[in-house]
Amino acid sequence: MSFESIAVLQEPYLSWLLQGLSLTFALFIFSWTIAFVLGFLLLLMRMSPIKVIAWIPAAYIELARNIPLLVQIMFWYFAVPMLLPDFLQKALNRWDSGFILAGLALGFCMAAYFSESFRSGVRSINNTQVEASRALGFSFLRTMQYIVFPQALRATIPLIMNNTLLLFKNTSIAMAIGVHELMYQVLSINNDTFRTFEIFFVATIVYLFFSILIMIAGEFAERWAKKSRRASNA
Amino acid sequence: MITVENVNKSFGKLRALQDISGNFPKGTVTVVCGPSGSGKSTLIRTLNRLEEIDSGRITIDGRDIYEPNINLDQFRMSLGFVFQQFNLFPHLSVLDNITLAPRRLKGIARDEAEQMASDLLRRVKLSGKEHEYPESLSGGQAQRVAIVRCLAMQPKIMLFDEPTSALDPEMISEVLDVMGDLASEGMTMVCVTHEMGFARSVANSIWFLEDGQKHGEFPVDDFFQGTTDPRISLFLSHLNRE
Amino acid sequence: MLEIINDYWLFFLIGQYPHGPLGGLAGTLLLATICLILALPCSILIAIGRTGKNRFWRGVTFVIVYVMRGTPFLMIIFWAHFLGPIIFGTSIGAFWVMVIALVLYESAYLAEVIRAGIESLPYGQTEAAKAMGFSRTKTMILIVLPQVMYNSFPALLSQFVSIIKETSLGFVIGVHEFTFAASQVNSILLVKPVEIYLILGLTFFIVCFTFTSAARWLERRIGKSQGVLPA
Ligand SMILES: Nc1ncnc2c1ncn2[C@@H]1O[C@H](COP(=O)(O)OP(=O)(O)OP(=O)(O)O)[C@@H](O)[C@H]1O
Ligand SMILES: [Mg+2]
Repeated sequence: MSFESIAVLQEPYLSWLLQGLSLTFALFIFSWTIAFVLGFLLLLMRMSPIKVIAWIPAAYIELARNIPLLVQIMFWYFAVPMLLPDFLQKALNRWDSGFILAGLALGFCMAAYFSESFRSGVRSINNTQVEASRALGFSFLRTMQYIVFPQALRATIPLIMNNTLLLFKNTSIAMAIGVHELMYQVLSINNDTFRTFEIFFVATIVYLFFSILIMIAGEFAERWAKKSRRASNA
Repeated sequence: MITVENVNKSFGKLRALQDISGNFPKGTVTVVCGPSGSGKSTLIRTLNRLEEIDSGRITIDGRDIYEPNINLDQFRMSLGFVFQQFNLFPHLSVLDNITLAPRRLKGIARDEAEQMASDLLRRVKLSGKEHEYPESLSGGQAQRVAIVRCLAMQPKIMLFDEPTSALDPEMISEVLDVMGDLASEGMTMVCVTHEMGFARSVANSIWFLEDGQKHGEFPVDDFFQGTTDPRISLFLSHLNRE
Repeated sequence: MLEIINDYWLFFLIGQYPHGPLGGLAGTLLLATICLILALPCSILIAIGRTGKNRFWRGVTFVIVYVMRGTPFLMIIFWAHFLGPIIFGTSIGAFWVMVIALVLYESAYLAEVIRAGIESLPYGQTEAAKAMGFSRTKTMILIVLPQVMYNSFPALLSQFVSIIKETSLGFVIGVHEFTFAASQVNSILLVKPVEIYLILGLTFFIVCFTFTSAARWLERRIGKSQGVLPA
């Protein structure tokens, strides 16, 4: 089977596919960034000694992890704009509101998973590490910066890569609110050509290819981390 | 010099330190000993406020370390603390373990800090280990690196909490030798340890703790030759049997 | 919001039933339960293949697991939607298409849970059984699996929460379940999306959080009683 013999890889469908793929990537990077940054902020809040501040992220994380992602995306798409002031609604509509809201939904939901991963990394670090650092004269924040977070990041890499893979696969759910990412384009091509097997096959291979890339990257990152990691040096 | 006055410390109902008073004079080595659970670690940890006291007063060079506007981090930079379990940072190389604090806390340039680290490593016979990671070190090597990590901050006082109890017997002396060298250079040291050989040859005085109370402070020779206190005799005989 | 619940609670709960297929929250829970019951045996077989000595089965089960882990669940749903009628020769309905998709996908994930359970079991257990003369199959069935299922129970329960959440994706092929019911109500009322999706989300939360909490509670208990940490 050569490339030319696959009808769905001819124009115009090839462009449809590539457009879908690039939007999938854009969505992935947009929401990954949100998830990482917000996940980190949630962790910081959760470590706060003030009970109320620590409680907010804990409650949010439970919510995000116990509601289907599709429902969260629908909430962001159908409900959140109604809650926004007029000018923001208009601004949203001027841009691609489906893309932005799906990205926010994905990012906000996955932030909960990222945050939990970060937290398990932090918790894997023995308190004696903090003591040793404080005894040298590092402040709490600097102890976090130089001692706790670098180690937590290493301990947490496999979890983060798993979350990343999940996030990548979940970008496909944005099709449910009409974002023209890869899955949406695949269905459009299917409707246009009725070559279901062909186009599904191609799409599956494409998704698998990038998933495996993420898994391999995770494997490498883990090896790098192992070089300089040990839970405790007792 | 450190002065401790009527220090009390409880964990819930347990009175870990009861009315402890005494001096650790400048340039001397004090060994703190006593049975397990007697409060030795608690005492030494209060000296750099890893543990907070409930009442009493601790002053270092005349300055109350519990005064409200003290800069705790600044103050800790002048004390070195060596842990039983070394507590090296596993994600940093030996060199980075040593230079992290001088560079980040004192703003010493990397070259200079690394030069100093290498010199110190040579002094403890660990030249060439600069780029290894803590997990590849033996216990004795790790503890010597931990000591060097403190020395790199040029502390006025060194505190040791059972620095050799986690080590295999054949490694104990390499750490004690380093501590002995330090003492002969005039470092002010407080050591919690059961190494009575070290105490006999290096220490100036010995504190004996039991059940959170201080049962006296002895010049070294008195401690080993006929103290009348039966608790100490018992403690020593237990040690000898081990 | 109370008004909507008052008017539509039965529809949210069971969909169009009895004038149509069972849907709503009941449809969701039915779907998830059927899936778990069917996927569990499949996943045990995959896990045995993954941890076994036979290279061929190790390879096959490895590929199954990684293909499922690397493909979006929606893609699996569309495959089942497309191939189901071809394989069975007749339309089998969205509900059963969704069952097939869920069983395929979740078997792989459940298998990884069980595999972790098998691998964390002390090797002494297998050795002791061998020494007493149990065959490999009997060791697996009588000694290893009962312990693994017990230790993995909390993790399996957490996976059940994932299954419940994944049923909502049946929405895209028109499975009558909870999300579908909510969108139908939404298209009837048109102007109340905030309330409707809040009801939908919070109900899902209550159901899922109950199972999540139960899983955590069991994990602590089992962890204590056995001294074995679940995967
Ligand atoms: N953080 C803590 N919380 C509660 N109790 C504590 C804490 N730290 C120490 N203790 C208790 O205080 C008492 C004194 O402990 P400490 O560690 O100072 O003893 P030690 O003399 O160092 O003993 P060892 O020789 O075993 O190290 C012990 O009974 C111990 O259980
Ligand atoms: Mg102690």
